[in-house]
Amino acid sequence: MIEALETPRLIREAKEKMEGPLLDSRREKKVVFVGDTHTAVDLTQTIFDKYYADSDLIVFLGDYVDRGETGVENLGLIASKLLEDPTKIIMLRGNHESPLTNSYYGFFAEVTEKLGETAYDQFKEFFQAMPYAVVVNSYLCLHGGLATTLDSVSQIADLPFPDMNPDDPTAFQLLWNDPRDMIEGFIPSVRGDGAFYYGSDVTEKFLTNNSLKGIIRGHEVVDGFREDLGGKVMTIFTSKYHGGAAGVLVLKDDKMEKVTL
Amino acid sequence: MKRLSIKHKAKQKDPDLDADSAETLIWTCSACGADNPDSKQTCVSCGGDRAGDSATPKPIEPAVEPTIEPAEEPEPLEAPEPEKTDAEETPPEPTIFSFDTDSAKLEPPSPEPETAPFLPTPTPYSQAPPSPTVGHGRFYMVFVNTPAQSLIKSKVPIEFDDFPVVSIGRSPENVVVIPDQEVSRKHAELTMSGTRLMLKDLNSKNGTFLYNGKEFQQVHDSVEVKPNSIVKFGTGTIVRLTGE
Repeated sequence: MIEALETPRLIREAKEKMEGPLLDSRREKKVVFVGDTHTAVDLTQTIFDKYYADSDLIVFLGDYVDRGETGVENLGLIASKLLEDPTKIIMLRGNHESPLTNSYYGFFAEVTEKLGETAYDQFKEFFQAMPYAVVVNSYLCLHGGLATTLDSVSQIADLPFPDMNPDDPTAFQLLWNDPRDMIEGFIPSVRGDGAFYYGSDVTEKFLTNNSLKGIIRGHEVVDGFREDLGGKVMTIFTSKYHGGAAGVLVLKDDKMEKVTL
Repeated sequence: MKRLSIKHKAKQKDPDLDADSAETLIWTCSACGADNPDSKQTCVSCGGDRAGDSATPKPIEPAVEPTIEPAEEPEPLEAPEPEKTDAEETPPEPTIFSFDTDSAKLEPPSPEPETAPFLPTPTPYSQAPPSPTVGHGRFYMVFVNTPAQSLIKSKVPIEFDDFPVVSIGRSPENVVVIPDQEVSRKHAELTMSGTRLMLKDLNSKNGTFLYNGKEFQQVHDSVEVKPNSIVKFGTGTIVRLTGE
């Protein structure tokens, strides 16, 4: 168990391991994909106990904090594992790794209570250093999804960075958009201005043009998993605050397995 | 138009936000300083108009700006609807899925949520539709988004032979019941006028909106809707109307 007081050092050191908005593509034999954990440090620990030793890579899809009381510890635990072996852990950024959400959904208050009034600044620094996306075994991994302005994966590498909120519309959408396979094109999302749903045609086109097999993402509260577009877009949720299931995807030898924790 | 305010202060509990499983953006009231979900057009604390709020930073450059107008008359209070309804979601999950292989069995399916008590025969989007009715043809309402996440992708048949006026709203007496607090008890209705499908807003509190390819435009009174139209009821429920 990571103590809250350890987390500032861990995230400072982990920040030095971050390598920009788009990480280099990876191809591995066994990969575990983890959706929103939202402070569920016990589930995060379970994932490490179960998969860390024999996996080549664990991809966290963002949203480590808010909606609970142990976001500091959750973040610290993942950062500690990343420092243990930076090639084995990827920490992508979610829309909750941002001041836009932390003041409302609890993480700012949690940090202030546990670490003091000025402690939050170093978390913001860490959040804005987190990558938005990575391609693993030809699956695009990111928190929200495709953006209206995104034609190719490589564009992500050129986004303004660091970007605190983020304010760049493309980066914002990567963290906030949701897939809907019953629509076409992009339509405005109920989440608010600047966020969209991305439909089946634009997703198919993006996957084809970028030689991708699919998209693996988090961001929505689902009962462990949801498939869109015949399974080409997978949504994973890895917290239990909603009263439903927490799941992870395990990709081994190019076979994808859904595991409920 | 505004996106979020960035404020550092203790967490505030907002029942409207907590009721929804998916978080939304937040705006800050310039009059009293309270945080409000993006779906609200008036402050939940002081009732101030969002349109008059100037304290919130502007977004950099959103690609599309929905023009959502606040509704005027508040609804009388009555017994509250259930906060969230779990309904039958999609077909039973396959025990395995494999993107690019042939194969084998892996994990057990995730638990199915409970069935909704009052939604009229929702069927999964991906299922083959039942046999068509005689007369007006058949339309379906497919849920693109609604606060009850388990309803997303549900496909509800619109039966004009059974119900010449298909009422839509939050109350159980409607033909199509939407368990969303931002949907009025009697929100809208669908009718056939000859061969035309008509959508009428029933002076709902948060409005009915038709997507025009760029933005959601508020429906005043009655409009014709074409098959595959995207309609928003209130602030959080979006459906696609499909026809055969």
